[in-house]
Amino acid sequence: MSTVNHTFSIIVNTIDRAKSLTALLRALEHQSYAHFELIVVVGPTKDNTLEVLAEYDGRLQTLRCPTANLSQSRNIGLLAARGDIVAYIDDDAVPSRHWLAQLNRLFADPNLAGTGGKVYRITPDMPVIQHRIGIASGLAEQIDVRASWVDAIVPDGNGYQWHGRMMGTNMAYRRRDLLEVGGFDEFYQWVYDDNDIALRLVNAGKIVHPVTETVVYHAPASSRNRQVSTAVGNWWIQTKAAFYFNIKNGPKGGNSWQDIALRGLHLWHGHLLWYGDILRQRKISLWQYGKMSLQELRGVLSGTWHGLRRRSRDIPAAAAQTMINSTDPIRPFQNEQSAAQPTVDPISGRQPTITMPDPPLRICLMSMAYPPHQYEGVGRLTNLMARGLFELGHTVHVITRGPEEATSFYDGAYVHRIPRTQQRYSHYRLYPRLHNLLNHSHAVYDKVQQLILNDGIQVADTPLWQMDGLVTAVANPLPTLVRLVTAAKQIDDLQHELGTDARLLGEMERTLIQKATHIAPNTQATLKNVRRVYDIPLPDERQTIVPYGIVPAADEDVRPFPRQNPPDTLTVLYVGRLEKRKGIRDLFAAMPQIVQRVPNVRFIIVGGDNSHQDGFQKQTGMNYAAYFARRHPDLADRVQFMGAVSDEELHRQYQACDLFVAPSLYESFGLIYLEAMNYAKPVIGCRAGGIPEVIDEGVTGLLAEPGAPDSLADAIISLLQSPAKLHEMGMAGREQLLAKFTHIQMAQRFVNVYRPMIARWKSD
Amino acid sequence: MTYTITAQHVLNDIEFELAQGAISKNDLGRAVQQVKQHQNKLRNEVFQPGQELPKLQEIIGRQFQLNDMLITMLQEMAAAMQEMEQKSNRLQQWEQTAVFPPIPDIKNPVKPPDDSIWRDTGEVEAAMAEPLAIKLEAQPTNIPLIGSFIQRFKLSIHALVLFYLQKLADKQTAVNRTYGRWLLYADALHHDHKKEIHQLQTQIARLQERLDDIDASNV
Repeated sequence: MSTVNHTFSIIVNTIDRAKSLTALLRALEHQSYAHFELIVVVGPTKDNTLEVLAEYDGRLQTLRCPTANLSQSRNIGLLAARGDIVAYIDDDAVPSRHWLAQLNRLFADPNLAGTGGKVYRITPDMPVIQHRIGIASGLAEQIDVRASWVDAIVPDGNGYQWHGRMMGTNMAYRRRDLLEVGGFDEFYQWVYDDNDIALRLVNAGKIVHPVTETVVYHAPASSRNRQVSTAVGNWWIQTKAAFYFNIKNGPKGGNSWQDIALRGLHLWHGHLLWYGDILRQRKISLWQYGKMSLQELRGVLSGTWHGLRRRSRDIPAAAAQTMINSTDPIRPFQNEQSAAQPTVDPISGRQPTITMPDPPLRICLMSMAYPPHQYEGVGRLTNLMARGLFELGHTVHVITRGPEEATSFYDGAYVHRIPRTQQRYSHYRLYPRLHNLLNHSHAVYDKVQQLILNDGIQVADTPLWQMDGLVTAVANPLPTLVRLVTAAKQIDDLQHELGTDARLLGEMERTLIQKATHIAPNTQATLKNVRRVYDIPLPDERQTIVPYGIVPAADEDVRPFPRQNPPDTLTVLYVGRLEKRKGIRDLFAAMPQIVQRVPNVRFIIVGGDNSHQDGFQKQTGMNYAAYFARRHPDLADRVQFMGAVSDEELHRQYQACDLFVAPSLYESFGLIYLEAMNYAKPVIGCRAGGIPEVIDEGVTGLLAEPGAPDSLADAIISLLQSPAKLHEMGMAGREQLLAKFTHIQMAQRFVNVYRPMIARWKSD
Repeated sequence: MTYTITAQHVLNDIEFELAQGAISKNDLGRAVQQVKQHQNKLRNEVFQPGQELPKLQEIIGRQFQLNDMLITMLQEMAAAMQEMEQKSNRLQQWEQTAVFPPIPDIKNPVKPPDDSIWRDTGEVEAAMAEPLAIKLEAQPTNIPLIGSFIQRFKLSIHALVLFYLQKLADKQTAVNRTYGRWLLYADALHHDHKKEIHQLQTQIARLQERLDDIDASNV
């Protein structure tokens, strides 16, 4: 970072957005660069904005703007600013942790008058990059997202004088330069203010240079001018501003009057066509259509008239000069408590209500698949970790795969999606699994680098499965923890995968474990297993067993077995993929004995069929359901195959069952047992892998021998025949879950690993 | 000899990719081509015989726009140069610390790529040497009686326009020469760096051969 320490004035202009403003104020406590004051300019507000600001009395300046005019509000803030640099951010956005630190470094260049960085829209309904090194022409044509400065070097537009332009929610200017050009033109009450100021600075011979990072996360909220996620808005103000902008700036950039007129007409026409479209789509009413079309005409006339009058409403030169000469110091926003403030949800403004003894951590979790898109166990676990870590006050970033680069915030974490890439490691194309893995892992590493730069992440946490963090662990830019689960090599060995691709993957798993700063197996069994498979020494100080946890169900959703009034039919639930490893065939084999001894039993089988992948179809020519129907036709009416189901349906099934069975031949942990215990259901598993560490035998359930249908049948029968045990074990399971296996407890266990691990990595 | 890829090779490749930094971007090359195409299109539009002469303001506007594009490219080129220098430094550092080769196929060390962006330095030199000369021919008129008078009037107007255009062209020639000088300088630097990278890669390959020999003698 630069040694030049500029002082900053962050200016926030707000009206009626108390909720998102709260999020911003809380997020600013976490800025890594402390030399800043905060100025909030409040328009004619009707909500509790002033009450929110009152909580920060003495730490920020609250100013009032008499009208709902963004440029006027910006100028009021500018005239009160004392910092060397003024940075504008919207009230519905939050900056990345190193936002100011990066701006400070950029402004070390004395010629730079204005800059700003990338803006991510982070609402989960539409996560996109809103702005990255944008450019605009003297005819108000804008290209907001570009890959680099030479992207769209021949811009697709008719205007001249294409110049760098920052988005209003992420722009910073040298205060002196901004005052010298008279600040913002107050004719722009909404939009084009950012474009106009950039152009005026350029015309004054100053350098305006937007950059690729220096990130701001934006969660657009509704305002007086538009209702977010709808088509309703005062779009005519845009037309007015555009006409004014073009007439004011077009000729200065060499644009002919003919082009200016054409551009205006195109813009106007475009708006009218769009109104027609949204009317047809019934997004607006006919009355709204008529009103909006008439307002457009008003916008055209007003913009043209004021543009031709050539009277911009800037800050008077004398007032600007007074402020340029002012040398008053800033009043810093942050205080001693800022560093220990818990993290904040940038959309809702929610902050966990806990007191943090140590500053919150900034953690990067990795998972190739992640909810709400298709995900498996690792994705689910990562999501649970994120939720738990957030509740403990830590900032969480998740890196996962997506169709395009985007960031959204939900379930307590910033979820960064990176697209699939195949650009590197081309000489491994013959080994597709390795090739994909290396490319994905390298893309994850690139994102990690960005997150270090922007958000100051301190630790990376990767699953062994899919090895997202392999390149990060090799490059070692920060400490890396590897969550040990079932090794791919173990599964490949089970499925007799012997090719080079599988061998190399196994070797890379081993490499990842060796390169990791720390490893966290979920059970003793997993640790033992990984040691056995890879035959590598794992020093005690580099490993900690971290059992997993889930979100506890609300008490009213829990359904213990009604021992006083047992149901007529007893329901046994199986959840898991239908495959050999999950022991489904053992359950099939045990069913006849169970039905014979407990005639009122029925079975619900939930999970997708995996008979193709595990070789069962090749062996028998049937999938598991067909096999069962042929093998046990007399039991067909007692067994229901539901296939893969939604989360909601799954929880209904857990609630509705009387006994849960999952006779897996191996599980590194077995979150499914916890899911059943969550609803106070007794559980039966096998004495294999990490299962005995989750099921407290005789207390929360029973253990059968793996691959032994008789043993499984005995266990199931013994519980089904005892309503008291069904009730007691279920309740004991729920108690154990609350005592040991919640997502918060799991997150706390991870935090207890991260902190010493970070300290050790730094000292190394 | 059968070549077996091991985890160590994959690890070396990861380290090599890390040392390389970002994947090489050919944005700049594409941008050069785009600007060139754009300029050709503009030239056609502006100087096509028989077309109405564009206004001076329009010509200047377009020229400024081209200047902006060229300046942006120079700026990006400067950044690319800096990045290349860093890569080169990283590779040098890597050579000192690496134990194994990054490239499995050591018999065929990587040759410097044939980079099409830089083929046209001759054109740049030619453009620098040749000043911009603008010619305009007045179309003859067939109007009886006053035709010759109109022709003479058109010629004098054209001469006036040409005078100012030529002044502008002279200035632009100077600008072009400056661009050209910088482009050639950047090109020379680029080649130097490539040569250096190639030399380093050859050196690495040699080192690997030596290591292989040592391994073979140990066996």
